[in-house]
Amino acid sequence: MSVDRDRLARIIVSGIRDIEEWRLGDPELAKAKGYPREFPAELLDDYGMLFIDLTLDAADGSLVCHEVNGPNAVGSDALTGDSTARAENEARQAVRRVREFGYVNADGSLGTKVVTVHAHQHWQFFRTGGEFFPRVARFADILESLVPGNTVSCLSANDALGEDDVSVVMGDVPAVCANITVNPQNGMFEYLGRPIVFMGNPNLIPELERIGRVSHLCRTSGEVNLRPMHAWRLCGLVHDKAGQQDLFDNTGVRPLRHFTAGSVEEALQKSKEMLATGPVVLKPSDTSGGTGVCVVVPGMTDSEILGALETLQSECREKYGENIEDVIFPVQGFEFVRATSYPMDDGDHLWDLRMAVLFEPGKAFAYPVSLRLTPEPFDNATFHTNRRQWISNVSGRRETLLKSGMDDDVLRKVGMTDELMEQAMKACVRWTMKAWDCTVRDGGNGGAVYEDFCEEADKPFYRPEKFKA
Amino acid sequence: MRPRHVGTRYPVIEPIRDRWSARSFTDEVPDAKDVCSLFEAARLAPSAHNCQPTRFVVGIKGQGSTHDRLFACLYEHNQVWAHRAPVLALASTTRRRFSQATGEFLDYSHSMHDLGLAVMSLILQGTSLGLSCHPLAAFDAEKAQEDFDIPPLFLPGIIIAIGYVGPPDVLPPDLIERETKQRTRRTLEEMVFDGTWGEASTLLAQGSGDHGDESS
Repeated sequence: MSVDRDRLARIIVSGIRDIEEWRLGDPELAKAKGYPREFPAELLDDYGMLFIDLTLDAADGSLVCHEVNGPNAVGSDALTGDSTARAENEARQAVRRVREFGYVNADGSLGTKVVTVHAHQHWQFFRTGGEFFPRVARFADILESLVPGNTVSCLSANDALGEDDVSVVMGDVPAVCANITVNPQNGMFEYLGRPIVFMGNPNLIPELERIGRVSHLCRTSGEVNLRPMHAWRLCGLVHDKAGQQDLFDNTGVRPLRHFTAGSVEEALQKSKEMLATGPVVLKPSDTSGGTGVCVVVPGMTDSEILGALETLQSECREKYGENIEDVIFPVQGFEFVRATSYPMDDGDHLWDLRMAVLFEPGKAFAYPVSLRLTPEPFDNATFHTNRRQWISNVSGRRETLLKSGMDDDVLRKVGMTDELMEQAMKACVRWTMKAWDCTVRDGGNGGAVYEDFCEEADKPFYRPEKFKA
Repeated sequence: MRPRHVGTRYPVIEPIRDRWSARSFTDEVPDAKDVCSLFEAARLAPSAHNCQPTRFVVGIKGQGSTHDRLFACLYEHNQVWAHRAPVLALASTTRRRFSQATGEFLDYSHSMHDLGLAVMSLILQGTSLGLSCHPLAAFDAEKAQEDFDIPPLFLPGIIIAIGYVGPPDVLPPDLIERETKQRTRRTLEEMVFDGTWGEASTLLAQGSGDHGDESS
């Protein structure tokens, strides 16, 4: 008898409430629907993956985005049941870096023993092992095939490094970060003293900030070489939820109104201003999985809003540990969007659709991952007291609350037509290009380049004919 | 670098004064750090909308095949001397530019201009390091595009021959003269106007013109 390695890993973690999005996978259906959909993306010149959480605004039917997640997020196996495409994308980036950093000898052997780091979310809160462990194992297999003649081994964060040319280390964010340092000579990340050529989770950065290995400015200051990170250019943006919204302008997804606040006092003031037009969602920076996210509604007193902000901070402290204040500010506020309804026996549930964008030099692949329903039905009178009515985080969910992004019946119920799905995929790819471009061109927090907008407002600003002979 | 100054009436910074496009190079391969400095200088060049359109493919003689492949893209009349350059660099630029405002690619009429700014930054940095950087327009851009798998978005613009200036007598006879003769330039009056196109600016008469380098 032979045991499928992926299957074995999934059997092991199934007993600890693993989310098991891989069960949604259907390769035949994906093929029939043309997923993943390939788009030209000439602007993109490196590798990466994003997960973009979309929904439809019940008020006007427009596509909106709750947030863009980096390659820390999961669900890449919900299309076909495995994450081979993602693992190959990661491995190709790793090989690119091995060469770029000068670790390959003329004969193809590695002149330096290197490490790749793969981190899943804080295990206490997430159960994504059925996707994560098979993916990392697949990564190791593909990497070994791409660097023939070199040895590759998989290790846990608790293992000492061996003599293999490439050590593929996996563990949760705090565990692997404990072994990561920055070489002050060249700004390279190192794992137990060996150079890191791939880091698969942008949430490593805030954790390294929290434990004092890098400064809070490291994503822009150049003090560390971020190129080992998957989707490295977007390391800052995946945690800048407000900046993400600006970039949705002219993509096909309506940007949400938002603010940023550097202190509790500022968050109170700006919340009160935005409450004039409806409920406001407050989110801490640099967190994931809905931690600390809360909503305030019109009519709340100052002390009630401050109470929500205190809850936001205490939840982050509980999940990530002390010294979190420097990381979670600025707090960001967004207009609350009530999604179209998904009717269930207990009432109408809100939902979001996670869209994946896997990209490589010159092209991007988009596909719907899963449609996630809120655990409890929405009640306009009480939702601000119960996050389970409006956050569709996948942790610990009932199976019935996680639907395939290819399920036509589910999509029809929420009003997600084929046309809207096409629009959503195109918008997500366009957002990815705008984001990549923005980080190259001093896009800053506004996600904009001044001249582009001058030109849009005043077409002759840069006349195309100016330089024609 | 062997000086070949053009006479000037007004002072210019040294790298501009000293720069010229050599065809004869010594065998000495520049230090990798110096070559990297050239591209660092190009990286800092200005560009319309801060597009940063320029990309380089660099080949060092004797290190891999890139130098040979770049050399093969040169037209023959450049190959007769450029084979001595220890470094060849292909500079390409984007044909279109991406707009944050529209989320689409737009015409980019300044593309070659911006490539030129980057290349000039590279050239001046090279001059300050004692390197001559000779830009070559005569090469097969389509061949370069294909051989180096350059994406369609990019347009190969120029190949730059880089190295330390060598003795002119290694060149073919017709090039020795070109390598050593007095360099000439249009006068300022022929290129700086004010109210009427073609009429020299009166500004030129106001400058004292006594800080230049008329001697060489």
